[in-house]
Amino acid sequence: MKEKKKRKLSGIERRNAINFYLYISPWLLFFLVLTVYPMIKSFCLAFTDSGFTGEGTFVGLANFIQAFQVDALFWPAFKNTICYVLMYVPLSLVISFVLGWLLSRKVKFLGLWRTIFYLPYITAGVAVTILWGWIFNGSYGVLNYFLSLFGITGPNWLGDKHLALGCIVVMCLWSLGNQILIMLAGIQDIPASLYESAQIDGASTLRQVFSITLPLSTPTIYFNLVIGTISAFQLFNQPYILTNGGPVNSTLTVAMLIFRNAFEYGKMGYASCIAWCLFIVIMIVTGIIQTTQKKWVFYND
Amino acid sequence: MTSNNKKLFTAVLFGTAMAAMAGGVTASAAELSGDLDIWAWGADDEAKSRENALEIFKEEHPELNLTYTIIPTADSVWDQKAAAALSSGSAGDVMQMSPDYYGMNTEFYIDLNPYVEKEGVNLDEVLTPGIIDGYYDADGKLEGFPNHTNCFVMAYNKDMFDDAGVAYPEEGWTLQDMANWGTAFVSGEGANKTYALAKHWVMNNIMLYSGGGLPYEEDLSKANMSTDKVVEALTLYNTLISNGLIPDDTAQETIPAETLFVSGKTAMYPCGGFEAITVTNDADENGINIGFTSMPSDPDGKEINVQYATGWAITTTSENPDAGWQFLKEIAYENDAMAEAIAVCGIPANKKIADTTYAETTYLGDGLDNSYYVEHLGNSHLNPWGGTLASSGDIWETMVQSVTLDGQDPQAVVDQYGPQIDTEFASYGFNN
Repeated sequence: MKEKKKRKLSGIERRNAINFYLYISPWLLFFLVLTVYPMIKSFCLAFTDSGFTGEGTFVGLANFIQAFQVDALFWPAFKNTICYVLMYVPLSLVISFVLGWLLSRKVKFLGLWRTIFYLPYITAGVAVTILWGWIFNGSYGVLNYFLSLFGITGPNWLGDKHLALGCIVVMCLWSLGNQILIMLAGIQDIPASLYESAQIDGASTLRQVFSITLPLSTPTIYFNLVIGTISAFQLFNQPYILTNGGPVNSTLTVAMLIFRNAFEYGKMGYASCIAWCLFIVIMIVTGIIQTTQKKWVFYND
Repeated sequence: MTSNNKKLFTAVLFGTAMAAMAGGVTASAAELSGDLDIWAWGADDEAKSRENALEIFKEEHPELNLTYTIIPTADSVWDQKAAAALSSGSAGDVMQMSPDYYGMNTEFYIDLNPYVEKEGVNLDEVLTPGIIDGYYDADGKLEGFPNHTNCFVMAYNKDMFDDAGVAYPEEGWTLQDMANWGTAFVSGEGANKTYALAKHWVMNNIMLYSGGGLPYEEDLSKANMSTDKVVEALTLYNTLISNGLIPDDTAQETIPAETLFVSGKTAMYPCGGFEAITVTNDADENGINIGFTSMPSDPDGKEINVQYATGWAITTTSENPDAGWQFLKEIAYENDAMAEAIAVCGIPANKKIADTTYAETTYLGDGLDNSYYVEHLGNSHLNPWGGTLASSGDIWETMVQSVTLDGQDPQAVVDQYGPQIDTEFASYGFNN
């Protein structure tokens, strides 16, 4: 059997290859050190009883058994996180699409509107969360004051375990600026000729939205869906600052449970185990989205 | 010298060198040298007091290359940085720690017993009584050394008491009594609402003891959270909140308890030693006359007070533990100037300064001076849910919220969560 002869790289090709690795090396280095290594390390820790020091003895699947059968907060944290994802992601897609479409229209002060809608996204997260705490405060809050003007006694928004998570969803929807911007870019990318043809055929604005804008925005919606879902599963800041997981653990998310176990209780091994459970759930959900996208995402066809 | 003599001489020399290394824990200040890195937490006045003490030490020890960092505790900045540094072995030689917050029962810090023994000092004579107790692990290891501590005094708005026609609370008053006379302070709605007692962050821990029980055995071997005393405590807490005597958690989430008190919205406020200056000054600025009394007593007549302690520890990774010990003992009892610097934020470990400079400090208002804090320290419980016990503390918070926010039956809550705390206790390293 003849061995296939390896083609020798030309000088330019060699230089290009060197340049490629040279340019990519800073990213590659950080990727290896800050992403790959911690992932491998946390995977190993998940099977140990490691404390703060990161050293521990191998305990097999004990951490997973603890999570699934003993820890009273594991399932509630997952339930809360999934509820949040199911509320936040669809609403964020609808709102960002509607606002993206509105901002693509020729309206007065367009630049101002775009700035206004983007502004919450770049406002400091902690400050915004505290601000929303004031709005939702049952006794002193602006929202209940507003309701009282109509003779309505508002509920204790953040003190009611049935309402608190919803309040956090509303708060997070307020800072959708980035998703709106991505959606706007996607909508603006749709050829104007399609709308002109539709107008000639007598299609109403609503018909144009549902027959042209929406189908041709599906790649952008798909992108926002994947990114939004992954980030929603990692919800931490808002419930940590606003409710610290309460009332009665109704806003305790998986990311908070990981933080508590790792940095408050010093259970690094167990925290790594929960982190891997979350990672697997995110992978499964993303995989499902990826599989179904062939049926509903249209790429210029 | 014969071969045997040479061997003997070498062995003696080697032994002497080893003994010097092992026993050299009390190197005098003159012998100190090298780097010493100290990590502390704190903000505002607290950070300033630490900085002042550290600068005094730095000035008095030019032979040491002293570096220090003061990290804020807000938003868990300290928690994250300290945990990461301790885990990776990159923490300072000396780390601030607390027996009720961070540090006990860990593998990060060296045992300070050999230093204390070598020093030959009677700690009872030089340290504020009781201040070192919390730093010993169940196995006797001395994890840290005290810096200062704080307990509480109940401040009350004399004008509100006069207007309501209620007698000022006196030593021995109970929360059970307050459930009756405290209703006189409940009025208004929304921003105009007034309460009997502010829901300071310490209140969850104060209420824990209000039924007369203790949350766990002194040796931490088991929890006592499934008892009738806990049911009584939760029932009382719920009564006080549902009748509007104390704001609920969320009502006070956005307005600090201190603000409610100094703006005349609550009649009483548990005032920690660390905030006495701010509270008394703010109250005075707002024209509010305040008085002070002891913290409430439990049904058995014992005062319910909680102590929050701050100290220092030397890390196992430190390459200069002798210098670390020098700092620890100076700030705790040997250096009066350093103790005076930290006395602005609480009762210093230095007994002499605690009994003089600190105790003699007075505040605006009617008759409060720091001697109160010193006298009542002995009645206080160390923060019950600090450090390793934080996971049980989180369950206690859930129990409180289940009753006070979700309206669940206290007995049912105790039945549900008491066993969870038992499980937590059984899982702690010191019980295995």
